[in-house]
Amino acid sequence: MIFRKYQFADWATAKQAIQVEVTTPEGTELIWNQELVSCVVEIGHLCTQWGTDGVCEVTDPLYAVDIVWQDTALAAYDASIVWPNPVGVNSFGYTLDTEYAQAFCVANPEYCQPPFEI
Amino acid sequence: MSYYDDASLVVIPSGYKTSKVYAEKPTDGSGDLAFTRTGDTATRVNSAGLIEKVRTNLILQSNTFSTTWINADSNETSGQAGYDGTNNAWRLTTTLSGGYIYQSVAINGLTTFSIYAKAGTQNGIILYSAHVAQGINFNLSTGVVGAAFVAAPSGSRIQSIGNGWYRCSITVSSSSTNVFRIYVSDGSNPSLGNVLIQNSQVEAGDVATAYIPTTTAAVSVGPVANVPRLDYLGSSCPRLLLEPQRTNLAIFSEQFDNSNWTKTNTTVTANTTVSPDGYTNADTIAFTATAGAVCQRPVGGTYESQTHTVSVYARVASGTATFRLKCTHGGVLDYISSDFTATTTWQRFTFSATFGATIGTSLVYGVQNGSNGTAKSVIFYGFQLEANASYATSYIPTLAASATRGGEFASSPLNTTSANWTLFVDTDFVPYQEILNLYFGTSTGRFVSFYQSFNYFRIVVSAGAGVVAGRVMSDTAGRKKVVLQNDGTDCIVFVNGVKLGAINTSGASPLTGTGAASFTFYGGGGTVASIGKVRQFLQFHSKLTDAQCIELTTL
Repeated sequence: MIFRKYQFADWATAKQAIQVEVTTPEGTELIWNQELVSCVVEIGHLCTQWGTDGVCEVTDPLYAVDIVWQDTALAAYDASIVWPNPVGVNSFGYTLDTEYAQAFCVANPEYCQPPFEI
Repeated sequence: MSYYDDASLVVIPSGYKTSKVYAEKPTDGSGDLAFTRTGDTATRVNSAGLIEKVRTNLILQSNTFSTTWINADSNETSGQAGYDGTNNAWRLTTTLSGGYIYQSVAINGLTTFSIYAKAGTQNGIILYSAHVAQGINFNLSTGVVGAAFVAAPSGSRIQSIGNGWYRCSITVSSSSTNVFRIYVSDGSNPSLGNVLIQNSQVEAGDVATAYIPTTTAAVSVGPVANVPRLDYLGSSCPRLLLEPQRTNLAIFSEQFDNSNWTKTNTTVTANTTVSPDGYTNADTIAFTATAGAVCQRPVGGTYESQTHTVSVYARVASGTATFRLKCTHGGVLDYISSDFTATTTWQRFTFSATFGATIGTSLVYGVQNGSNGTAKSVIFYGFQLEANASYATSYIPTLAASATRGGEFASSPLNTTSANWTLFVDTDFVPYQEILNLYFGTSTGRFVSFYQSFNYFRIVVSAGAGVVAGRVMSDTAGRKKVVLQNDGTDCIVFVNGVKLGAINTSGASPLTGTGAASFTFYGGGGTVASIGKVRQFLQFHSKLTDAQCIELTTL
């Protein structure tokens, strides 16, 4: 599995590429295509500037999403990949977080230098 | 009649391994449930009644100090008498004053480094983290944490385990990688001499947990990804726990002392009390004499027109004390629970708030003093915020980031070419919100849903284009024994000894379950949420009589 982080200007359109339609007792609904993705976390618009008393004054206009891909990340999403320092604002636990951190280090090798040892 | 003998498939959740729940029958593996869950963030209540989390020892060769570990003016000798009755301890000897042994570990965030140690020619060791140059002395004669070395770590602990052995630990922050050193100490500074060491561990979090041996790779234990959860909450018999995908948005869910929690008229003392997970990692929050005393944190996002649920474990040292839970729509309206009463027994408290349509700026969650506003201390553990969720699911621990537990699916072949079959499910439901689904075939195929809606326990059969029919009963909560009997035309439903009737499925694709069809219990997906706790599952390749179905489903 592959754990990647994204930010989209138009997530409503982008997510159609990884959804399928099913029929449920409540009617028709869209679910994540399990052949492509194992887990999708719609984080939303992150707060970039906090005011007092828990008031968010400025939110990121882009929509943040964490995706765990079954095998291969969708190439069409590559332009929306972001690389926050591991593990960003959302975690899936040790194994997937490590997978993300290793990919992050390939993309950002300067981050992953060990501390200077005497 | 023996139902066991006649059943073609018997699943009583007990045996499991990664990605599989074993069937008692058949024994050739063809009836085993294939199980999936994404992430290493799940917990369960184990047979001892304790919350069991995923724990990982990140240090390599945790008790082979001659490999992977690097000597800096030191050497080590194996075969020493250890704390555990083995000869697996090592003598660490420095050849120059200031010598040490070290290892670099890939880790981020709050980190605890621990090791067992006993005095040798010197009475002390120093545990040191190179990332932010923090270390501290441990006196192996008196069992006392001593002076800082360079700078004090954020946490340190020494625990006597007998026969002169101590478990020493430091808690520090890490970023990307960290280097952990062990010095021989004279009580204040690195020195010449030796001490005994055994069983090192580096793990996320602010307490040292039970030792996990490693060799060439990090090792995780507990309910890691794809390991089925046999849950003992409220029962001496395990049940297969199936939950939907959920995220705990409350960061540092056990570290109320962390600066990310804003304290107003409250004081937090970390790691005062043994928590529901069995470790001393619950925090005491002292509220001053005001009803507004609160420990809280905001999280950004879009929360309007949704229901959100917060939960926390709480107790007091003696007597009782009231507190409230906060789940406020930032910039719009305060949502604060009624008073909860904490006793000397750990309890999980839950509060759900439905936000209106007004667009807010955040969600502010936390624990607040009771409405009487008296000064008091309450012990807390495991805060959880589940957004767009009307009920709390099992605990998901967090540190610096929110954590997501994937939805759970358990599947097995239907394994019959006949249109005549019977399924029996013995399951537990928590009132009002739970659902258990049986998919037949693919996710776009037919399925049967057991769920609760508007205080009714409902069974609905769907087929291809939509819902075929449904049956309901007004008893919503608790244990449900359900039989579904199919003959290609009707799906006959029995629940808890009562025949609810037949659902005619002939108008759409019937539940034939032929060929390679399979069924799936699932713990979520799409907008449908669930908690299912499966006690037993049986499949028959024939129709049972009504009397048999009633007998089988009677509680």
